[in-house]
Amino acid sequence: MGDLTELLGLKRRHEAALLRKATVRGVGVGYKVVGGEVTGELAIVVLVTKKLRPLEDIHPKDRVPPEIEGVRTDVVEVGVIRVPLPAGVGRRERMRPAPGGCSIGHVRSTAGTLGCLVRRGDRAFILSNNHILAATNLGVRGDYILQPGPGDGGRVPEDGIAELADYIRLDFAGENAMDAALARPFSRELVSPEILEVGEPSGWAEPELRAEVIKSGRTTGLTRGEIGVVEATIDVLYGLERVRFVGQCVVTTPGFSAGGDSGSAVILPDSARVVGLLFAGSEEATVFTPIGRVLSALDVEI
Amino acid sequence: MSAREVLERHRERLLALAGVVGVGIGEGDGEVIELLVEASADAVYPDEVEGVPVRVRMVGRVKAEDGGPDRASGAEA
Repeated sequence: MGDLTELLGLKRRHEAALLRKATVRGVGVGYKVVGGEVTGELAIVVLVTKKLRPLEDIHPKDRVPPEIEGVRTDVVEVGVIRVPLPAGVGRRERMRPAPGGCSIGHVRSTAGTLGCLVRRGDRAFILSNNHILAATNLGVRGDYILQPGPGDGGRVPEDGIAELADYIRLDFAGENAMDAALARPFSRELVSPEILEVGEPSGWAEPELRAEVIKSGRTTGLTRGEIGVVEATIDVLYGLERVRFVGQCVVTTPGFSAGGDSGSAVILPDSARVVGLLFAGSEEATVFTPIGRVLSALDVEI
Repeated sequence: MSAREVLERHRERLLALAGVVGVGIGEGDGEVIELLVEASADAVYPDEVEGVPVRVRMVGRVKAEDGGPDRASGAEA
């Protein structure tokens, strides 16, 4: 076992690989704790949302090794690390850097939610809906995206945070796979990779029937629900028109979302993996698109 | 035949029923076909399709969820 300096070097070399594992939310160096007693042995401390047992149930690539280069690891359960709301600042107000879960909108929209950041190569983009970032097919590349959205008082140019980069056109006569769009922040410093009251997503996963999910949205904040319906074909009202979507998931917990939550990322609470992009709902139900399809259509990664 | 296969065969017919705004797969005692209905109507819905149970779920008006200050409380768009 090395001294602290050596251990910090070891930690730095292995940190990125550890953080890629599903439940790992942090890595540090500390004294190993055995049976509640602090020992004199230095260890790589791995913070996880939840200790999963038995080990055989965990995908091998997500297991934390018992030791790294001869140094023992200490797995500590910390739950999901929440990012608190900045004191006195609401989700409908201006936030810099702007995190997931706050108000955003195209200059001709009202307001929706900044879902999360996604990457294409080394560029970061904001993910939300076409009807939020492109004002339902009206937008053209380069249009101002405001934070907060215009419906929350956002104005050009002072609240401009990004420009419309790309969107999937909504087909009012045919079948749609998603309501999705990307905006490119004017600079990386204007946006935060964290989602309010959730933290930074740790990747993505396919949504499964009966899974418990959370979302962090501009109107109803952090809410919890269950996926009650998958493989759904559903007609959604855009103003007075009904638009058909296929291959959707429905959260059947009442109050999971409301007007203004469109664009929120739908997330697994234990692993912080994103499973969907929310875009519609009623008082009883919320509709989201499985995220894998959104990422491949827009050619981005989480 | 699985619930998903049965749904594929009957998707369009089920979506054409009065008041139905969506269909999908849910879970009850095994997989079931879900009928998402906007409001309770006089319409009569099937209990099962080709042996797969059907669950009728009232979902109200499913809308794109943008919102300004006027709609923040969830009022009509």
